[in-house]
Amino acid sequence: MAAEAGDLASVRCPVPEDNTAFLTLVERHYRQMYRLAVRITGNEQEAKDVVQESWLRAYRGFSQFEGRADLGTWLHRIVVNCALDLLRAGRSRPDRTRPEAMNLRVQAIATAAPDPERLAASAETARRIESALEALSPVERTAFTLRHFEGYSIDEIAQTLGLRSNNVKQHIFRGIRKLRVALEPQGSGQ
Amino acid sequence: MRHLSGDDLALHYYGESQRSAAIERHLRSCPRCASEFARITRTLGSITAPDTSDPGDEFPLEIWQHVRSRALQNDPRPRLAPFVWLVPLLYPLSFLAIFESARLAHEQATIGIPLVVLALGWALAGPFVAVFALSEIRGGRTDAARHQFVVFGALLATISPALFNLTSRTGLGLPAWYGATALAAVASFLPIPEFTGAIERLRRFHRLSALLIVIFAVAHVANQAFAIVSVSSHTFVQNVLRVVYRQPLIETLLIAAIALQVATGTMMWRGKVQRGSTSANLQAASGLYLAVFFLAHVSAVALARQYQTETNFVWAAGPMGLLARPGLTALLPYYLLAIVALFVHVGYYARVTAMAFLPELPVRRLSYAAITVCGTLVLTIGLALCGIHLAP
Repeated sequence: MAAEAGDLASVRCPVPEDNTAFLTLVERHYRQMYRLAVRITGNEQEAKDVVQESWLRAYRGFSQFEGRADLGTWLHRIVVNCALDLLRAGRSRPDRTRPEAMNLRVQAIATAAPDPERLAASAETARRIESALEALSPVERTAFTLRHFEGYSIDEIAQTLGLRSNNVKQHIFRGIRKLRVALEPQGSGQ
Repeated sequence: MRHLSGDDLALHYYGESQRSAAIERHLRSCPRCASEFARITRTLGSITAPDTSDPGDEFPLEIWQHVRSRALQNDPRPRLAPFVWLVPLLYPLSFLAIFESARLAHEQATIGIPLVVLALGWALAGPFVAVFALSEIRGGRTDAARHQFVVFGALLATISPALFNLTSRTGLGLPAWYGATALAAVASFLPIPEFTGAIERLRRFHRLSALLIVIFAVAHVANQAFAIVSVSSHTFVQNVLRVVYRQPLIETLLIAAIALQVATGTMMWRGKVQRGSTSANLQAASGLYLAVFFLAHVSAVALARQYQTETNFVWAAGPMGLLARPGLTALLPYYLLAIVALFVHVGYYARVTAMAFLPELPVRRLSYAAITVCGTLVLTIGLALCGIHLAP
């Protein structure tokens, strides 16, 4: 943390001609930021755009970052809001053209030694999960992602999105209800 | 214990329930809830995070190039946002347009009436143009100083009808208006410190004072709507309401609530704008308009009462309505925008609060109902202010 505060001081140059301190910070955080952006947007190319835009916002906001929060937390908050802006603008689309994205999820769902039938079933499940997540509203998807994949508490999500905890709960509940309708066999819900 | 809802079980699944022990006990004794919980666990457990491929070693450099090029371009995105300053610059023409098109409507209704509607739309457009301008600088909201010129333009565009009312009282006419506009332009280049105190406490005071104001405003706006029947029916309702709100204690509380509302709202305005979402900007714009409107309206009533003038409908709209002369026509957007701002400001808060307790569909229906009520009130009061009454 102390090292990062030192890095920040050198990052705050008015014109970024050749800023190795900035690059050091990018190197340290970009993978986690990218992973978070992929999880929210469901699209790797869009996630790259989100990460680039987040760093631009971070660069412009370094002067206002006063070390009140952990730098990583602050950067994650920017990524979440950038990704949410993108989802709201309706620009994000799932990576249907990139089979390996689906395959990775399929491998996670399938057993260690999958036979072709199991792989096909897992592929079907993965597709259903993708389209169920796609059907969530931008805030529902973001809140669900932060709770389910990232392990944020509801209060942390509320703080990140600038919402009240009760609102976040409702967004998550709505998201889960939609996911259950899409993923559970008919007639099994309450 | 009753059966647990899917929401309760989902909260329990994530370990966020505040009654986990009771839920655990219930799950052990209730096969139905236990089976439901098992189903939720299975479904949520099947949703695994997509693994991500590495974005590539050259990605940090791409990020750097993106940041560098955009920073050097000085953020070209808010191309249209500075034009928000056209709103205050052209504002005096808008109510002249209402006046002239209303005169035309007397002679040629088919051309005149659409022109009145268009001109009225122009006069009321300020806050909406402001919200558009603020959303254009959203991407760069963290760099507030650089966008202060746009923020101040949006501020002035929002409050134009109410500020024009205040400047016209100086008796200096348009020079006073353009003087105020020039002052705002100069102020936009000065460093303005942001409020950094306890926002949560401000919010509490803001909501508390709003409660009293909303009760009064609902009665007051409904009273104005009665003018569509006749001026005398408006006066009758007003006299009944005055029995309550002209009580010294209630009047003092009301003025204190308005002062608190204006002060706390003004302190929170900038922080709201910096959050950057369109709904937050709408909330900020409507609140800002209400603050200046309260200032103009309450001071006008206080002045009139000092000179023993009866502050009734004729005082507000003139004996022949607001279209009788251009000076009076300026009051039409001033009043109507206050109704719209009240609905937007209170409605936004009510919507956010309702979203925490109600499903999406009823909240959406309630929002549509509120928009319909607001539109009807604006139309009703607008016609009455223009001297149109159902009964003579």
